[in-house]
Amino acid sequence: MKHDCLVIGGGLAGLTAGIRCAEAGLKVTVLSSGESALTFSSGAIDVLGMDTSGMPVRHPFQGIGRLIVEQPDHPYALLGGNSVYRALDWFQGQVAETGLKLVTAKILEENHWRLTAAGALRPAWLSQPTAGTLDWDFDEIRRVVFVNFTGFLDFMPELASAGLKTNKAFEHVCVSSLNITLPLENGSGATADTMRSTQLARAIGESDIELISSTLLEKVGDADLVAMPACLNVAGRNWLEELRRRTGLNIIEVATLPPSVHGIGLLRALRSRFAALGGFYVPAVPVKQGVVSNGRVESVQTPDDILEANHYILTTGSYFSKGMTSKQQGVSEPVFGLDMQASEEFCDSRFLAREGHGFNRTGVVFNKHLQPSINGQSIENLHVAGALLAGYDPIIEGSGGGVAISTAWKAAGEVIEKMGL
Amino acid sequence: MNLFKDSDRSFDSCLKCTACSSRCPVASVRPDFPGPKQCGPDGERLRLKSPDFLDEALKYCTGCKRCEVACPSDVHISDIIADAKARYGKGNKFKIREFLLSHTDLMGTMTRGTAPIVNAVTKTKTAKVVMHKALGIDQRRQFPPYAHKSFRSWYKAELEDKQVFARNVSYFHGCFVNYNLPELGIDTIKVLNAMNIGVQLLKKEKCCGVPLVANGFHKKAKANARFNTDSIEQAIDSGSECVISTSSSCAFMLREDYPRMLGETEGNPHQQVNYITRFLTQEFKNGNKPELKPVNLRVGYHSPCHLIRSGGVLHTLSLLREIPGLQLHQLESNCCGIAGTYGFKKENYNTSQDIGEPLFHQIEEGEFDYIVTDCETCKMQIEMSTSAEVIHPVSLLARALDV
Amino acid sequence: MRRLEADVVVIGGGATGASVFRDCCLRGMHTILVERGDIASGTTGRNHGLLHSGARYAVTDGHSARECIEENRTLKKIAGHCVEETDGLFISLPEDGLDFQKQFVDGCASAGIETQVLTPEEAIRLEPSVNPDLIGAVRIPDGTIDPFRLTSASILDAREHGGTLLNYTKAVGLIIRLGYVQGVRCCDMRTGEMFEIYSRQVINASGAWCHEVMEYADLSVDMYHSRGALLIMGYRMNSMVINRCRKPGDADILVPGDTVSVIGTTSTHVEKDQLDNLEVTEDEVRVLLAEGSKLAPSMMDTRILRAYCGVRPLVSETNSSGGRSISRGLVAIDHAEKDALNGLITITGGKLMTCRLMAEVATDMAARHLGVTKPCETAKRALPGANLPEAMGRKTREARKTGYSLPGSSIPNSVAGSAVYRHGDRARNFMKEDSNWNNAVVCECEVVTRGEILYAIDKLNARTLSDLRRRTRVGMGPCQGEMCACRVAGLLASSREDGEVVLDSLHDFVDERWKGVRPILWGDALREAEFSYWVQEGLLGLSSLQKDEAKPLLEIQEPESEETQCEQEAKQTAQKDTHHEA
Repeated sequence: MKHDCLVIGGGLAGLTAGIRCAEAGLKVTVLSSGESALTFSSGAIDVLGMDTSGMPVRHPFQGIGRLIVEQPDHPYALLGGNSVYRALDWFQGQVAETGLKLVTAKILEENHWRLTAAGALRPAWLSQPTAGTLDWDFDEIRRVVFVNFTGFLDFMPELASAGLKTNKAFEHVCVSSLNITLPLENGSGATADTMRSTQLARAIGESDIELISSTLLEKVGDADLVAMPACLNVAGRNWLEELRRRTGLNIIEVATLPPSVHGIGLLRALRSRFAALGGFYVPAVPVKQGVVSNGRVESVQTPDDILEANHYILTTGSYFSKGMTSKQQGVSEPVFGLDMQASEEFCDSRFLAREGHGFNRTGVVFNKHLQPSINGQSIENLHVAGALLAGYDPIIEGSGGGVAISTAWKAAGEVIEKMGL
Repeated sequence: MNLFKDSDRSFDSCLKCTACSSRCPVASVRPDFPGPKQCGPDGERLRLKSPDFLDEALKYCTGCKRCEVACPSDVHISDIIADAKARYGKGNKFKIREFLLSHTDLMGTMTRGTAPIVNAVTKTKTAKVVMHKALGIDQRRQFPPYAHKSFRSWYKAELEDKQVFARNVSYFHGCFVNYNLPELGIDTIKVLNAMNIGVQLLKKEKCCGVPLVANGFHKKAKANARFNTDSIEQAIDSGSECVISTSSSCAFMLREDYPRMLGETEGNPHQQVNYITRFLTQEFKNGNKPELKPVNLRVGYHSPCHLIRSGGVLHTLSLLREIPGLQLHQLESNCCGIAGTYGFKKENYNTSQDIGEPLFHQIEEGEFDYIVTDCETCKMQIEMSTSAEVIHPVSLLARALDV
Repeated sequence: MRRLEADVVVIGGGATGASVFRDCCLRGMHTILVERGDIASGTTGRNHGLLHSGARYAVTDGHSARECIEENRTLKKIAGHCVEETDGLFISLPEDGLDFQKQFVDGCASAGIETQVLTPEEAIRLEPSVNPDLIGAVRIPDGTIDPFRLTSASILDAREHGGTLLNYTKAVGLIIRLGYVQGVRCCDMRTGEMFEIYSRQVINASGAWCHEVMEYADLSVDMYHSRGALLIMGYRMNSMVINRCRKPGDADILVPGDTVSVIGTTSTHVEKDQLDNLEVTEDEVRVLLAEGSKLAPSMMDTRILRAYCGVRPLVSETNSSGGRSISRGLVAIDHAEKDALNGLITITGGKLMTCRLMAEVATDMAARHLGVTKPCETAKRALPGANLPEAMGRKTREARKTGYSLPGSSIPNSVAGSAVYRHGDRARNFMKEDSNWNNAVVCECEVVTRGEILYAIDKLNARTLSDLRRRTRVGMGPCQGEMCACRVAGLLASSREDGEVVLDSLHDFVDERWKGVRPILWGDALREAEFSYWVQEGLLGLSSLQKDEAKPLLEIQEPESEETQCEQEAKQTAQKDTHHEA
């Protein structure tokens, strides 16, 4: 059986590309190997959070305009702000079809702040509905409380309080923490200290919610913002909404240390949307090698098979997912041996350096159709998207989600066009 | 006794990313199970210091290998846990149960000719209570009925030396087809014959060893592996193109685990073993595709854990895609919970059913005519826990052949 | 200015300083130890962790060999929970020939080190990771020792016998009057406060930095600083120490320490002014891997967790002639005798193996000046934690069968066992059945519990994340603290430190881990670093919480004139804390 399109890599970019192809009626299969990085992500999507001087970006799509003037090799330069916006808008709609309504800031085309479990603020474009969107200004906030469930290790309210206090805008805001000891109704007798967020999410039941809401009302009834570990909205039980209703408080969920309930939720939504559109998602099939001749991919080899398709989209990600491999001698793309662009300085002397690290900007070079090349020759029926691309830093720029989605959207668009659909 | 010949050092690549633990069906319903990361790669680093660091909780691992599927670093988490249990673990109190559940071929042989009685007895309340109390086999569990006539005897009586085809393959039918579901074997022959391929049985076969490994009978598993390898070699030598299996778990064992258990074998006979859907999709691709009439059914496809691990979901999905008229929906991947013999044990019954719950829910909601799956124990579990009827992909294909 | 008094001030909190501290306290002297950073943060924390049998010196330096085997036996007795009796092999490869082996065995015999000559097959059976090309091997009683644990246990014993530890306190000068050293001028490195400690004896145990203290008294010493680089491998590749049976050279010792193996070292000269800026070079990594894989070929496929280097304080013999040079290694100088400067003793040179002996020599000198006659007990008396009842698991080959465990406990073996492994019988102090959340595993690689972290904060003077790492191994595993660093920072923030200090310490910790990873940033180490970066920066946004980094410009609100209730509370709490300390 010949596939119209084989997507190699089942993360954010791969599933986005798969969904767009399937939506257009293509016979598309996503091959995946190993869990996607979404599993550890906040579940929010950032488009552009920081400009090149390290300042937070309030209007991301305008920001893209400025960015691509300064960095013409940036993947966003292929799309421009308007196309990126279209891609993100389409993506939000696709996810919404599964019932997951990702939200943007209340003000049109503005980023909002995402609060982290260390008390930092990072700009984001789309957030999970229960994570809420913090406005760009904090005028209304006088008191913030970080609430944890005693013993749970993957949310650090005391650290988060300290972190938020380092922010000048919160200098005069009262920030404190509160621990609530829960009975964990559905926890089979286990305690929160043995649980990761995914388990805690299952363990919480009605009596826990009752205790949380009464404690909140008693202890922090006057708080303007209550932040809790993200484990309160899973498998159709939106306890967070319930808590908001019972207490009238502005409660938000904050992504915990991995695994992340929100990230997994987004991943599940994408897989389910893809399946609903008739796409096939195949786990545990690593693509070992591609066969290329005359500037075309003929086939790809998995441990067991040789697979053929009219078009291929490569979304294997960066080092973590082995989309790129590094040895003492350098970095390479292992499936096709694609041309790479390495950053001059591979890493900074400080881990959390403001400038980021060269290894993050290292990646596969691509042309304006997102086609990569081997020894300078472009490959006609192969497109690349996502973290594999050279020329951007997903973390420091706060652009990881936006680049993955928009480049995958474009790559799929190129394939659809070629298939004459 | 070590299960695999070479000691496994893949744990060294573990990035501590928690992907495995977040996908572990057991950890999601049993917080007292520390999860594959801690039991596998984390634990192994400690156990290299001293075997004293072996945790009791390893016994809750079902060996479903979903952790290995989730792992972005190719760590053989499930194997590491199975090996640690065998290497450092001490025995448990349900030895007889472990023996009975895992020696599926022996159990099948013993019921030969007495199937109606055994089936009737295993259904009685008294028998269930006795099995629960004395053996530790949960009384709520339904036993698969034994067939009145084994597949092998049917084959000998009906088919032996009667097929005349230029091409032949050998069929490792496994215990379940032989003793419980001969129909699947018959369907398999029907499909292959329709493609002008003859089906031979191996001269002799023993249980592939999956349940033996799961229950710690590593020595016996290795002996069976050697025995079956001989049979496979013999079959290849006498003209079979390859060996096929209709059980995703047996196929995985024969193809992937045997070489690691036995070490390199001359001529790589294990590479000649194919799960049926892989073989069929390859044949279809090469143009050998029988005529198929539409099968107008709405089916949900459940991918069994071990088939996922071997990457075989692709083949089954591709095959099903070839059946005209079939409305196919890929169910969200979720372990059914039975994990071979695991769910039969009384201490695991609740865990097993809790694990399967999201799958059962999907199945009941989906309003399917059939659930399609490749694995015999998934079939048992889904049929026991839902109102659905479960069919093997090959049997579905056989329907498309019919007039 | 604040003024403290003591009989003895010990400068330097490495293995030697800690042992001197302990010895002085056990002999009833009122002692204060000052350490500019944390305990075991210099040379002590940057070596192999090898419990030498002395065999390495058997051919070249018989005296050192005898010293080593004696201390080896002593440490096994007094520091059971810091030591593993793994035994070691000296292997001969084809390129080495077997000539050296003969000399080696003879040398060991005359130093009193037991040996067993093995065939290559026997060696491979005992240690499967060894290079299969070996042509001969000798088994000797090498072992492993955890220098952090040894230092921490010595300090704990000293404090339980009346001693005071001032870590993060730098000795910035000596108080000298009329040819007498009367004490030490100190600076609290966290607050900047200057204060003085008056004493009758000052013992300079600052190792590679001892020349700095001597300069306070216009004295000098001819030190040769030799740097040695090492690599930490991802897991315990070998169960016995593997050495090359030839004259000591680069990367010829592979030590299985706790959950890892350590290969080292190189040896190159380093200038005095570079002692605090050591980074491992690419060349060093290459040499370590190339030579190390000759000991155990699997090293080439094994992940490297980090690279680090330490400085050996070597003193040339000619210059120590005025002092009492006991051996080429150990240098004890009574400046009263050598320089007519009373009240100052310098103890340096030596090695981890002889830290107890060095302390005994220095403390004998001090005791003589102070008229203390109580004899040294350190060779006989077990360190805190080492009083292991049989069933709690002693790290002797014999007792290994009984195991690392808390008998009668329902706590998982990996959790209870790890606590006992690190803290011996003191594990009972923080690991209880009724845990109050304390048995939660904070660091999963090394199985460090919340209780162990809190115990280290309360009882072992840990103030920062790095301090906690040295006392518990938190963040020392394959992930190098990717998640546990944040969890521990949370615990620190909730225990006693103020938030900003904790954030600084989190950043220091992250940078310190990074320093070790950078030289080996490829393969799985890079994948791990990328993942950590996603978590720490992408998910948590830690970089914006650094005080020396520009904060994102947010619109700043008008400050309110009145203090919020929250701030008042915070102030009150702070006042309470101050009272408590006073």
